[in-house]
Amino acid sequence: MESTATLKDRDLNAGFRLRRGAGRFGVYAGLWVGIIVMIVPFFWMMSTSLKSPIEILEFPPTWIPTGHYVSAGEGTWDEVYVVSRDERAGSVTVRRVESGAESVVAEDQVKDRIRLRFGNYIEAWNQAPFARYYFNTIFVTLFVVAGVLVTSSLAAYAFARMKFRGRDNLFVVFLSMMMVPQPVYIVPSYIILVKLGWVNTYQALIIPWIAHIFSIFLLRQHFKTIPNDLYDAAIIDGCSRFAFLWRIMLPLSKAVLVAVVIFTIVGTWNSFLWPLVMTNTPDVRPLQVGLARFSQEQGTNHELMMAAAAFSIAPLIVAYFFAQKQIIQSLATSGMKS
Amino acid sequence: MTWLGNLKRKKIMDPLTAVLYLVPAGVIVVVFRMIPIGSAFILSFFDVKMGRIRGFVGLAQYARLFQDPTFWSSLGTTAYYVVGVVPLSLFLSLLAAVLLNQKIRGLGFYRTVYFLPVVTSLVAVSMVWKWIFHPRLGLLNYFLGFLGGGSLQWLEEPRGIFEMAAGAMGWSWWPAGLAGPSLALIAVIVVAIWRGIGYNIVIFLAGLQNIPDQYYEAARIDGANPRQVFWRVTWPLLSPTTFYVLLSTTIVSFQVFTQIYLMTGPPVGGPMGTTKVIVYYLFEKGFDAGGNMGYASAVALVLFLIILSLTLFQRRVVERRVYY
Amino acid sequence: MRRFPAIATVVATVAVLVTGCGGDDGATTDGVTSVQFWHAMGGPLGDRLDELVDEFNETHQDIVIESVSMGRYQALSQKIMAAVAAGEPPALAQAYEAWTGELIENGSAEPLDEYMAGPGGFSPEEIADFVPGMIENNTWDGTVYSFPFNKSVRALYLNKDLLAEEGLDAAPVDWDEYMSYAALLTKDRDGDGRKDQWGTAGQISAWMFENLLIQNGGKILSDDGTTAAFASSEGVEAAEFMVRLLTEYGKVTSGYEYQNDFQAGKVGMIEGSTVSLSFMEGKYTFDMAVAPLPRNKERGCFVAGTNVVIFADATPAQKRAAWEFIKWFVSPDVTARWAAKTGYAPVRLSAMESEAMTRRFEEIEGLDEVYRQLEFASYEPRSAAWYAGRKHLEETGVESALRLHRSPAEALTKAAEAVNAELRSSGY
Repeated sequence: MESTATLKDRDLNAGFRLRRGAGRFGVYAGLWVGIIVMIVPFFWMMSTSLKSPIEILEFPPTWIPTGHYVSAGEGTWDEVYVVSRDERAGSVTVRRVESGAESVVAEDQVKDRIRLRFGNYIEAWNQAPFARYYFNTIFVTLFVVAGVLVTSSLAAYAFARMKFRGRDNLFVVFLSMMMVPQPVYIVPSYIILVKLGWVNTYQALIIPWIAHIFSIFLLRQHFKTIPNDLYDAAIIDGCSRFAFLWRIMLPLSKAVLVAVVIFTIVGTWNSFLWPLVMTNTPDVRPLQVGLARFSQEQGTNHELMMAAAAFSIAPLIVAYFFAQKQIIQSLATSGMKS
Repeated sequence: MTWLGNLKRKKIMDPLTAVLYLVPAGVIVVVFRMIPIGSAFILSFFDVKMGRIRGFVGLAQYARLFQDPTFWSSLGTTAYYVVGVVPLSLFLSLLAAVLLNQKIRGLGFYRTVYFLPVVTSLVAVSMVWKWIFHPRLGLLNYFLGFLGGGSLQWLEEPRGIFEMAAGAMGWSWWPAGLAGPSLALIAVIVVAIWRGIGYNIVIFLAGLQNIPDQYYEAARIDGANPRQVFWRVTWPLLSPTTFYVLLSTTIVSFQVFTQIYLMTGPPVGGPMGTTKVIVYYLFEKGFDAGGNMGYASAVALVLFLIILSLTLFQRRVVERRVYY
Repeated sequence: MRRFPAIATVVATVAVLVTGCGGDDGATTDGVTSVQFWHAMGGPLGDRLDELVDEFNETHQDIVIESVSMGRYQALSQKIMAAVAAGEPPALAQAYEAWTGELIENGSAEPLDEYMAGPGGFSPEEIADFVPGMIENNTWDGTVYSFPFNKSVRALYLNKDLLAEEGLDAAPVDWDEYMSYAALLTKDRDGDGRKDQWGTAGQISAWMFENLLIQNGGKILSDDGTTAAFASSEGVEAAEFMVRLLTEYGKVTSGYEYQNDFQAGKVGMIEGSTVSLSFMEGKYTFDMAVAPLPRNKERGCFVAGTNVVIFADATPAQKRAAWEFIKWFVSPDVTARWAAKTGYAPVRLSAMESEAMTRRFEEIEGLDEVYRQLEFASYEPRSAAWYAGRKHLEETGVESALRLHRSPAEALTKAAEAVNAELRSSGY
C-alpha cells in the first residue's frame, strides 16, 4: 500500500510521456537519489584510497583527499599532519611529514591543497602477490567460461529438444540443486578433490564449475522458444543434431549466450568460499581470497584496504563500461526467458 | 549406418544421443553436486567430529536440533533477513524501473550506474561498507551528525531496531520478544539490497518494455487515471517478471553466507550473535573444531526443506495469480 | 563423424577427470623428505616463522619443511578437519588442545613418547628445562601428543608518559590500584566537555574475563569438566570489575582498534597478548613498558596459543622429519629467537637467560616479569565442548555484559546455561 501512496501523483504508465512539470521533476529527483546512493560508496572508496593514514582518522572526514601545508619561508612549503585543533585559541598543532617535528601554529597559517596519494596503490599492491592473484583469477575465469558454454549448450539442447524418459524429472533434480547452499556440500566436495589429487590446483577451481545449472536453465528456456518445425525441417534435410545446434540454435541464442558468459565471469571472478577452502598457497590463490587475507592482515590501514578493493574490482567495472549495452540487453532477454 | 540413419529420422534414438549431450554437464553435476550433497544429507544420521565418523546416531541430530536455541534464533535471523531484503528490493527495483520507463533522457546512464554494484565482488564491497559503517570514522555517522542526529554503532549494534526506536521515543520498557532485527543485521540488509537491486531493475525494465503499447492506449481511451493504469494494466501484465524476481531473490536470500562471513564480527555472526544466519550457523557447526558435521548436515537438510517448500508454495499460490 | 564434437567433449572431460588422479603425496624423492606444515601465522608472525623455517631447511639438507599459512586459526581448523576427512592430512600442523583431543580420538594424532625417549629425543635434564606445565598440558592419559609451539600470556601495556603525568611511576599491582589508575587517567584534556583520554581500552573477548576470574579465585568449569563454573560469585565479581573498568574508565572497541588508540597515546593502559608487541613495534612514540596482570585474591594468568601435532597418516620418514623440526624449534636457542622476534613466550627456562632474550628484555621494560607469570599460569579446559562453549561465554556472557545489555550476573548465568547445553550435547 505504501507504493500507491508514494506513486500516487505520478504517471506510472509506460508508453506515453509525462506532461506535467512537477511529475517530471519528481521522476528525475527520485532517480538522482538512487544515483547518489549507488555511487557514493565507490566515491568514498576512491577518496579513502588516496588519503594518508593520518587523514583517514580526521573526523569530520574530507571528501577530496587534502594535504596540509605550512610555510617554510622563501616560498617553500612543508607538508604537515594536523595533530589536533584548538578551536578556542584558533591554533593548530601540526607535525611535519618529513622531519616529524611538532609545532603549534595559528589556524590561518595552514594551507590546504588537494593531495592524492597514488602511492597507496603501489604500497598495497606490493604487500601481497596481487599480480599472481590477478593472473590466477583471469586464468581460471577464462577456462570456466569456455567450459560452461560447451557443457551448458549441450545439456540445454538435450533438455529442450530431445525426448527421453525422465527428462523433466531429471531437469527438476538439476534445478533443485540450486537451492542447496555451498557450505552444505563443501566438505564432501573437498574430499572428492583430495581423492582426485586436485586440492590447491587450478583444476579444483575450474572443473567443478564448468557445469552451471542456471546457465543450462537459461539456455533450455531459450531453446524451447525456437519452433519445432524448424528443427524437423532441418533434420529431414539431413542436418545432424549437432549441426542444428551449432549452425542454427546457437546463432539464434547469442543474447542468452552473452548472458551466460556474464553470469559466469561475474560468478567466477567473485567466488569466495570455494577457493578459500580449496586453495592453500599464493600460486593458485585467486584475487578475492587474496584480498580477504590482505584485509585481515591490514587490520586498520583503511587507505590500503580501499586501494586494494579498488584495484580488485576495477577490471570488471572497466569491462562492464565497455560492454554495458550488450550486457544489459542480454540480461534483460534472459530474464524474460525464465 | 543405414539403419542408424533410419532410426535417427524416426527420432527414436534420442535417449542415446541425449546421454552423450548430457554427459559433460552431467558428470560434473553428479560428481561435484549430487554426490557431495547426497553424502552431506546421509551424514546427518551420523556423529562426525573433526572429519571422522564416530558412529550411527539415527535421528538424534534432528532431535537435538529442535532443542537448540541457537538453531531457532539463527532461523529467526534468516527470516528477518529475507523479509528485510525481498520486499524492499522488489519494491525499490520496481519503482526505479517504472521511473526509468518514463521515456526519460539519459536512460543508459541511470541504468549503467544502478547496475554497477552487481559486477563488484562481495569481498571488496564488504570492505568498503564496513568502512562506511565505522562507528567512529564512518561516512554514515558523519551524515547523521550533519543531519543533527547522534552516531550509531551500525555493525556493532546488537539491539533490535524496534527496541532502539522505542528507546528514542523515550519509552523505558519494550517487550524483549519484539526487539526486532539488530541494527547490525539491518546494515547487512542495506548492503544486500544495494548490491542486488541493479539486476532486478534491469529485469523489471525489460518486463515493462515488453508490455505492448496498445494496452495503454486502450486504458487511456477508457479514461483510466495513471494509478488505475498501473494496477489494472502494468501490474498484472508484469506479473511473470515479478514472480521470477520474487522467486530468485528469495532463494538467494535464504542462502546468504559470504556477506555475513565478511562483514560481521569478530566473531562472525556478531554482535551478540544477532547476524548469525542459518547457513553461517551450519558452517560454524559443521566446519569448526568442536563442531559436528552430522549435526550441521541435519541443519542443512531442514534448511533445504524450508527453501523447497517455500518455492513450491510460491509456485502454487503466487503463480496462480500470475497472468501469462 | 558428424557427432564427433559431442563425443570429443565427453572424452576430454573424462580424460581430465581421470588424469587428475594421483598428485602430490609428499613422498621421499632423492633422499629428501618433504613435510607440509600447516599453520595460521599471517602478517609479521608468518614472516618471522618463514625465516626460521628457511633456516631449518638450510641447515637440514635431507628435510624440506613446506610452510603453508592458512591465515587464521578458524581457517586452519577447517582445513585440518577437511583433510582428515579426506584421509590426507599434512604431516605437521599447529593445533589447539581441543583439536588435538579430537584428533587423538580419531586416531589421527601421532603419540610422541617414543620420539621423546628415543635417540633423537630429550634427556631428562632437557625435559626439566621446559616451562613447567607446558608438556603436561600436551599430555593425554599419560601420553604426549603435541608440543608447545607458539604460546603467549597476557600483559598490561603502559604508556609511562601518561602515567608519569599523574605521578604514577609503577604499574598497578592489584585490582584496586588498576581501577584507581584507570580513573586517574580518564580525562578531558582539551576541555571541550568530552572525554578524550581513557584509563584503559579493550575489545570484546573472553580472555580478559577468564584471567580476572582466576585472579578472583574462580574456575571456568567444574573439576570434572561437565558443568560451567564461571557464573559463581567470584565470576560475577570479576565481570562486574571488568565492566566497570572498561565502560567507566575505558572504552570497548571493535577488533584491534583499542591497540591503535593506545599507540596514538589516547589510552593509558591496555591489556593485550605479548604477541601484540610484534604488531605495535615502531608504531608508538611514548615511553612504553609492560607489566604482569594486576592480582586480586590470587595471581592468575592463562596461557594462550597453540601447539604442534604430527599426524599418524604421514609416512615414517615424514614423522621423523617433523619431529626433527619440532625438536629444533623448541631448542633453547630457537625458541628464544622466536620469542624475541614475535612476543611469544619461550618454552624453555634456559631460553630466558639467552642472549636474544636478554637483549629483548632490555628493549621492552618489564617483559621478563611478564613472562615470569608462566610460573603460576593456568591452562584453559581442553575439551572440544569447551572450545565450542567458549563462544557462548564470549557472546552471551562477556559481550552482553560489556555492551550493558545484561547485568554481569545475568549475562554469566545465561552464558553458563548455553555452555552447559553444549557440554551435554557433546555426549553424542
